[in-house]
Amino acid sequence: MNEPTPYQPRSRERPTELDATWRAASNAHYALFAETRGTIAVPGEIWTILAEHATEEDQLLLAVITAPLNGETVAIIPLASESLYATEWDLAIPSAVLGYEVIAQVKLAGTVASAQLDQRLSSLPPHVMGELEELAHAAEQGASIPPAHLSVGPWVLSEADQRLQIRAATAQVLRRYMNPAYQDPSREWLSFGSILLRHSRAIGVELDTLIEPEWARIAHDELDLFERVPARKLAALLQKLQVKWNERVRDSLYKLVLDRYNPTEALQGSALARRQGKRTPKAKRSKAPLERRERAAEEYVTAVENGLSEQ
Amino acid sequence: MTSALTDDDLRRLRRSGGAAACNDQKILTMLREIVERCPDEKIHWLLGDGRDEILAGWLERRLIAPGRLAAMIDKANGVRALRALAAKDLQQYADEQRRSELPRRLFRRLDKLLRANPQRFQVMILSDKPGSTYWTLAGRPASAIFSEREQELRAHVFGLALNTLTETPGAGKQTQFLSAAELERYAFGMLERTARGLSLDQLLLGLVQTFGLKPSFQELPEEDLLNDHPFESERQGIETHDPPEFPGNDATLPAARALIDSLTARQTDVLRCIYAEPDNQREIATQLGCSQATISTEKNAIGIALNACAAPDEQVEVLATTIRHLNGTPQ
Repeated sequence: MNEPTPYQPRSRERPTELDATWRAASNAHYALFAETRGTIAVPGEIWTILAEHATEEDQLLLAVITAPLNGETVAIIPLASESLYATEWDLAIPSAVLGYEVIAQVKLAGTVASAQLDQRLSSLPPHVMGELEELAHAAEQGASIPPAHLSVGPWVLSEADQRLQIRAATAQVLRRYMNPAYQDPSREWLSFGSILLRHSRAIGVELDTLIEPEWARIAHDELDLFERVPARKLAALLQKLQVKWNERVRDSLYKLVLDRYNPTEALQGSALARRQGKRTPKAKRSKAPLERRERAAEEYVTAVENGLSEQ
Repeated sequence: MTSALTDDDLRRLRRSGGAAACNDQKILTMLREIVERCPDEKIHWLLGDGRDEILAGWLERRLIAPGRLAAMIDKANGVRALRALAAKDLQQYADEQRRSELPRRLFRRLDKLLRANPQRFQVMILSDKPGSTYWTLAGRPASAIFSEREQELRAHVFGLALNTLTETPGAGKQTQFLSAAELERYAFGMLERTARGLSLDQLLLGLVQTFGLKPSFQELPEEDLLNDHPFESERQGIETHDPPEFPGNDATLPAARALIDSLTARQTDVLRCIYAEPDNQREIATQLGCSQATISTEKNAIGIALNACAAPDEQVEVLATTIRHLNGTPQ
């Protein structure tokens, strides 16, 4: 697995004054420099986007340009005016930017052809663009939860939350306009760490207070559970968090063990080599064979399942 | 007679940011037609006021102030799409008006439900005001009360995936919004999921905020009538989901003043015109009695002056402040 790239915020300082004239000022600025800058869309601008085979009855998609990929394609993040259904992956865009409140849906990001860009509406203030980039970066890195300080909607705490269905349905509709960046926009639900974090949030308890300090990376799906966490202790944790054992929880746990299982003897072997003065290999330590990891994952999941039924 | 709205009109209105649409005769004519043609059975509970009043209320409470008209214009690819969006919005407005009493009724129903089921619900902290009384599960009493964070409250309500009763436009009576069984599932589910005590006001606020049940215009009652007012907790400090806004302190004023000082009188006029109609150079030239080439030259000069006064990241904000200052409304 690749190391996550550290995020470099463009600007985190909020400007001191802005109001509802932002949209008009943004368009005036665009008009002043239009002759010198040409007609290309630049990151941070908000455009209307036509469906690929648009008709007069169609709606236009509103989106923020995040990157011009090449002359013919641009990366976008769609905007929606249904802010009531904002999740933790939807950034609230201040109403001054367009004249009404919208949310930027980073989990529905994608690419469109430049020819689909129809009309420029406004642009994001630098600090809002900085927040959007930060949220989008977290999503790209596969983070199960977004950075804490952003203006986003309430967390999704349950699989039954209608906002997940709305997001999935919106993703379907958006296929008429764009190529999606995420095949499954609700993928964060497949992460075991995310499930633990969401349930701890749901019962109002910090996950850190329920786990041993050396398990801290469990929330980020970076812990070798098989080696570090006894199955009965994990079962007890699931019970404390009121996590209902179902297929999704089982699958995410299986996947985590499969991804992270790294048998102790490999560590010992490496440590021994270092002690004997041999060079540590530059390449990452290779994982145990797939068959062995599958066996470990199956064994661990079954042990947790048994632990739960005993409790 | 006003000519019909065209797709070009829509593009023009989008350029000007929707604000002009509120006074655009063609838009107003279209909206009036939609109200006039709406079948009686779909909005019968509003008809007592007359259709002119319905149009005025729709414009004032839904289309203009919250910016819905601008949002619809931005989204509509053509006039036909705008008509469809507007007709749907009118129905939503009518439904919203119809359920303006809903929060109050839900408050009473929840209060009755909690008191009528001592085997399931018990008082955790008693208050002389029903809305401030905290409740917990009788079978699993909570040891702490729910923190007053609206986002978290909404997250739990969404998590319960409530089945709401749909409003039938033609029905004579308004629906209850939640059946009795579903309301009980809500109260129990919230207390169970949060594992904390919740006040009646918080339980109601969860529904109101999650499903957008709060009427968009409601005069607040007098303080002495607040005893069991549904939104009391909100007024006492529960964070509401207002959109984030920009702070009001103006640090760009010095740059804006510098820009104004460096512009000629004509350049100031050109800037004002560009601000009002950014794409219409020909119209601006006619308005100011000069050629388009002159406007182009003046635009370049304004751009150079702006570059000298502000960094690229600050220029939009400086322009906004400049215009406000020129219009006599500096912060």
